[in-house]
Amino acid sequence: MTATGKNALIRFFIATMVAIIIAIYYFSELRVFEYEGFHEEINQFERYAAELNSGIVQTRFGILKYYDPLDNALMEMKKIMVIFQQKIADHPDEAIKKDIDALAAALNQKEQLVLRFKRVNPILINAIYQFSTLLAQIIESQANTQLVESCLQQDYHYQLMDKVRNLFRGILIYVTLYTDEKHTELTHLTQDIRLAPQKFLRLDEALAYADKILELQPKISDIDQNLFQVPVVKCLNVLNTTFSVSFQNYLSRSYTYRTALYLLVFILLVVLRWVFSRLRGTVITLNIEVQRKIKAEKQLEEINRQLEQRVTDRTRELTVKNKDLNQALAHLKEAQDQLIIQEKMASVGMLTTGIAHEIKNPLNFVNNFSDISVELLTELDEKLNEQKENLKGEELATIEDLIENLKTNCKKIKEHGERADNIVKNMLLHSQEAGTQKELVNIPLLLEDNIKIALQSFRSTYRKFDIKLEKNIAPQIKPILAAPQAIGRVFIYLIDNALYALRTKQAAATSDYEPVLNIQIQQTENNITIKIRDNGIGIPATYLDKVFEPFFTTKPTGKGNTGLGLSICYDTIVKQHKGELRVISEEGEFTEFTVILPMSVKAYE
Amino acid sequence: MPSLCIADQNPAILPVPDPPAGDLAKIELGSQLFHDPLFSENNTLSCASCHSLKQHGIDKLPRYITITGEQGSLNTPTVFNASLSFNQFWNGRAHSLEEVIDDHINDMTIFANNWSAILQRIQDSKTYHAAFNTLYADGITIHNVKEVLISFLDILLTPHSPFDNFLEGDTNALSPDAKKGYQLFQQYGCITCHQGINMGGNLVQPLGIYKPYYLDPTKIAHSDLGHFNVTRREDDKFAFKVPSLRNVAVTAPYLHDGSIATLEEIVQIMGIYEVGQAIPDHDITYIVTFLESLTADLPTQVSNIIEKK
Repeated sequence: MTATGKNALIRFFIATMVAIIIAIYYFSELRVFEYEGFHEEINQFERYAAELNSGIVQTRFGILKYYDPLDNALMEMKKIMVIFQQKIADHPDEAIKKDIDALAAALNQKEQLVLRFKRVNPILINAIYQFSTLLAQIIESQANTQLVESCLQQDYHYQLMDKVRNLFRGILIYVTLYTDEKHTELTHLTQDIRLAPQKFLRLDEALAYADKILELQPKISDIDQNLFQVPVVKCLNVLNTTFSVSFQNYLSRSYTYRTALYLLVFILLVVLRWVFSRLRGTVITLNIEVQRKIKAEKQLEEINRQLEQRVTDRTRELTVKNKDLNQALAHLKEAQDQLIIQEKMASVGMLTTGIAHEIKNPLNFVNNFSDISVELLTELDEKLNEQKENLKGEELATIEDLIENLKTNCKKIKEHGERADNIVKNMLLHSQEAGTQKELVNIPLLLEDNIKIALQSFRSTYRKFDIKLEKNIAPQIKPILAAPQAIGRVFIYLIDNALYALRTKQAAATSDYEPVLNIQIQQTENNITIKIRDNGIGIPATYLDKVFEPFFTTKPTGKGNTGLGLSICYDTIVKQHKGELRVISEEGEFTEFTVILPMSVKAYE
Repeated sequence: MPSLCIADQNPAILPVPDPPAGDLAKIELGSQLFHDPLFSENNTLSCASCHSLKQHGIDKLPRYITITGEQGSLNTPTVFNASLSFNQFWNGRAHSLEEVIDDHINDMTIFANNWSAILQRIQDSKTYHAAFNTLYADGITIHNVKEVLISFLDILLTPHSPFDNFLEGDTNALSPDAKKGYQLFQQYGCITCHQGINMGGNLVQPLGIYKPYYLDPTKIAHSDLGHFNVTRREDDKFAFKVPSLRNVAVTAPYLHDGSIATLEEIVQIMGIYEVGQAIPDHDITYIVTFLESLTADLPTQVSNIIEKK
């Protein structure tokens, strides 16, 4: 049999057992005896039967003067009878029904007799009472009367009186000892008395009562006899016995049921115990399984956790490595850029150096010879002045013109030669810077030095020039890695431009114009910011994006102005130092150059 | 021996008790039903039509008026103190008020009806329907209707008549004449049948004990046969329930056929036929005075309930 089948069977068995137990419990403990209370009722019935009998006797002898108790007792007995009959109708039982019917019959019989008793008894009692009262009166009155009639009448009187007394006595005896002979005797006596011609007062009434007594007394005797032969109590006892027997059966049945109940409960408990122990076994096994499963799960969790940890670690490592690689790549790129620039610069440098050197020589000749030419022309001019009177005016003028033209030409030649020379010089400067090394540089110091140099240089070229110098230098600027000469040059160019702008404005402005040069150096964690601001003529907006182009200039040419300055600054700052160079300006108002140099420019060859 | 002693160990007559407390709701409902003509088939007669509570429970007629308006055969007994009697009806055929109700309903000359029709009428009435369903779980049934009526009838008692007060110890409750009357009542033996709590109502006795009352066979009506109509026994001929003497002075006329109009007459008749003595006139007067002391009214709480209807 399968496990489920077995289980079902066990459950079924237990269910059946429980059902049986409940049923038996009902039969043994809960079920009420069907004629419950019969004892009470029988007792009550007996009591009322006794009351009835007592009432009958008492009324019989005039002790009880009213008949209500008899009727009451009968009514109560009838009520109990109804209860009995209801009970037997609800729970039929042959034996009990028979007894109940017998009792009912007895009760009925008794009731009929009581009715007859009630008919006869009052009249009889009254008759006896009236009779005795009357006769007592008669006898008394006769005793007191003196007879004055004739002797015959007297005789009659005595005789009659005798009879009356006899009657009186006789009746009194009769009512207690009611024999048939007495009855006959008294009947004769009354008849006799009735026949007497003269009667005493009220004797007829007395005789009527005597007749009544004689009529009713036998009846009452009859009723008496029958009344006490009615087997009410006997039937009641029989019924009681029958009920008791039934009750005993009920008790013994209950007892049997109870025994069965105990047995079954015991068996049920055993079965339950067995079931529970099996259940417990199952539970324990299950428990072990569950524990194992839990442990396995825990292990799995642990492994997962470890795995995750490892993954996290690996990821972190990779991230770091990645970062390093990125950084390395960036550096490589920087280096690459730098190398390219360097190479470019190197090649350009080489080229320019080459060209410059080549050009320098002829340029020297040109410059020198133009100088010499100018000197010669000066001499010529002097010589002409000495011979002035010898020459004709027209020819003099022509010769002077010619000499002037020559002077001008030579000066022009010199000018342009110097310009070319400057260009060459700058180009050489440019190339020389290609391989400059970086070192830790104190920027503020560098800037200050270069301001002085620039100012001196400017003043030497453009006469005395006073400006207001404002410095806003943050304290404790850390030195940075930079090429000092290159940075210095940048500063010089920027300041020079600023001074030029200032002077240009001053020339055109009113006397209350104060040229201001504002220098600001700030340092952040990553870079140094240098701002050089002037309130000069400014740069027109259209030129702002062109200022860093090589060979772009707004200054007049021929004054040693190549247009390379800002271009060189740009290359130095941005390409060489990985910084920034910006400009903002408003035409006619100000110009501000911002140089940003990074702190951590790597030093490399 | 005639007893005037009030602390009598063996009384023949007991005073009427106060009406029982009862369930007021049932009593009021019973009062309503008592005055309701729904019991009669043609809805004309109610219990109160003959047993008028304002006329000491009778209709003051020699015989009752039937449902068809004719004269009935019997004198209406009073409904007052009726619950104290063990025998009901002149011929003593009923022993409980339940039986009386059933009898009256089925009596062709009284209600000429049946229970199912009556129950239907009660059911149809909203007030009765509601009232019965409030009082009884099983609503309107024969048993419940009877119970309600009887709870009402049980309170129609007339305690504290002068004679009852005398029995309970008030020696001044009876006038000397009445006291003399009571003595004579006992002396002549009237008290042997008119005894008990209701001064009658528990015996059946023939009319004509010492002298036959019905001499002319042609003048005997069916109702004159009395208890014979119930038992069919010879000696039950002309036997009637001994009626209660309470309120006798106000419930004229007398006898089962209502043929005797005055108390003097009936006392005389009782003397000759029942007790065996011709009672002299002066004694009759005393006895009549005594009988008048048996009259009492319904207690106020009972009349209040009746007024409420």
